[in-house]
Amino acid sequence: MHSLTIIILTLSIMASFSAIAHERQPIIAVVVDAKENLTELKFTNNELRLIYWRKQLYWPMGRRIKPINLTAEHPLRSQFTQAVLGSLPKMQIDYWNGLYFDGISPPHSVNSEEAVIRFITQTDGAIGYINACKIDNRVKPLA
Amino acid sequence: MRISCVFIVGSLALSIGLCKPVFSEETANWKENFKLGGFSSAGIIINRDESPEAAINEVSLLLTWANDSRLSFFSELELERPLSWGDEEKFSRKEGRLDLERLYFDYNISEKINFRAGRFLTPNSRWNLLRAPPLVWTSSRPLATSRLFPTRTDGLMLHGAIPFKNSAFEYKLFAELLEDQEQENNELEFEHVRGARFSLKNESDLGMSLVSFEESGVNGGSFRMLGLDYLTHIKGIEVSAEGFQRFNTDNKDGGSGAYVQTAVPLNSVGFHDWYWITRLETFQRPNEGSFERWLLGATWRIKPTQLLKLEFIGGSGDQPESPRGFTASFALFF
Repeated sequence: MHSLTIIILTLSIMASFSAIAHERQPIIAVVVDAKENLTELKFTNNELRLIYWRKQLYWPMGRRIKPINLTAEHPLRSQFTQAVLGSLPKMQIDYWNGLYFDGISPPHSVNSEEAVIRFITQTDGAIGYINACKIDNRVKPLA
Repeated sequence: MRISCVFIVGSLALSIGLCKPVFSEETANWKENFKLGGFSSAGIIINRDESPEAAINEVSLLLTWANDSRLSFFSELELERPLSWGDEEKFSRKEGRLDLERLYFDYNISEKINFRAGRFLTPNSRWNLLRAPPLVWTSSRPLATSRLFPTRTDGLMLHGAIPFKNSAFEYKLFAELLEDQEQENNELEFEHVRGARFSLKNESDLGMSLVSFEESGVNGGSFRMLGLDYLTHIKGIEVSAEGFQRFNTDNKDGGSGAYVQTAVPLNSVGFHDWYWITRLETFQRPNEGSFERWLLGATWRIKPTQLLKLEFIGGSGDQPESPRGFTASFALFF
């Protein structure tokens, strides 16, 4: 009985930590340059997946899409790739090698969310993702 | 060689015709839009029936060009067997030859439709589309993926990707416009190639291809071919399979082939980044009989872009393209 109580208590504590950890996961916002016309850039979650898999290379008006990633070690990158691409960066090696063979590079990566914002504001057709709390007047989120 | 010249001249003409003129201040950007990469592999083969041989199998250069326009360019130039060691027991460069594997322009019509013109890998087999040594687990290629259909096509293609539920539906429709006039000694000759490939990318990849073509030679004729391919991961184990069935339009024997392959990670037994490879193959061509192959091997992923492969191949019947014995090779992207 004593050991059963310990097991239940341990599981409860683990569940609580898990719930707290889950709550603390940041909300990710997919962002573009604040000067972009959003009506031109409407797309679904599935299209976002195609953009980050580099299967869709152009916006509807013919501009080249330039997706930007955070580095593989960044926690927001793991959260984003799990949610959008369905796997962690380490599991995508074969896929990116295959695309390299066809001359297509994976999205460029940068170290910080500030670098993502700067890349987006300085690059025509760029799209990226950051913690929603860090959105400022230089970028705007896509619905 | 003539066909290569046609493409090179065509490429230049297209570049000049479709791209805006390059002024002096734009020269730097023009150059910055080029990217050069490549891959190479080298290995030894100890055949069951012949003397051992070693070679640098290929050095391939991948050149891409893309700017902010709807046009992009890609080419793969391969130096085949630049250095080999064999019967004469000394190194030789006489087997070396230059081959233009791919050269095409892509033009984006809309976000889901792209137009390709040039020389491209015939999109009727998963292996054929990803045939670079650093991309495949084994040094040897399944016979079914090299001797049943044309491996490359000079012509036009419409291709794109469309979201479909939680996956991507990809299509490729293609047709040959020019015959490849540069044939190697034992290369099969195909013409009037046209077809389609449809694939679904999700947690598993599923592909279907439909192709029609004519084959020259004693076993020639008009053929239609159905190909199916599948790749999935089960508890970290990669399982892949492809099958092809050719139908002769004169109701004669068309030929067929298939393989199934597994790559089992050996991390759990202490060999990090090593994979145990098993493959079974069957292959049959008109008037050539049928062949079976089995393969057992181990592949070490030294880095994400480098593979060391060791394999034993056995089976029935002699096929120069799939010798039985031991093979070791190293492949890398650079």
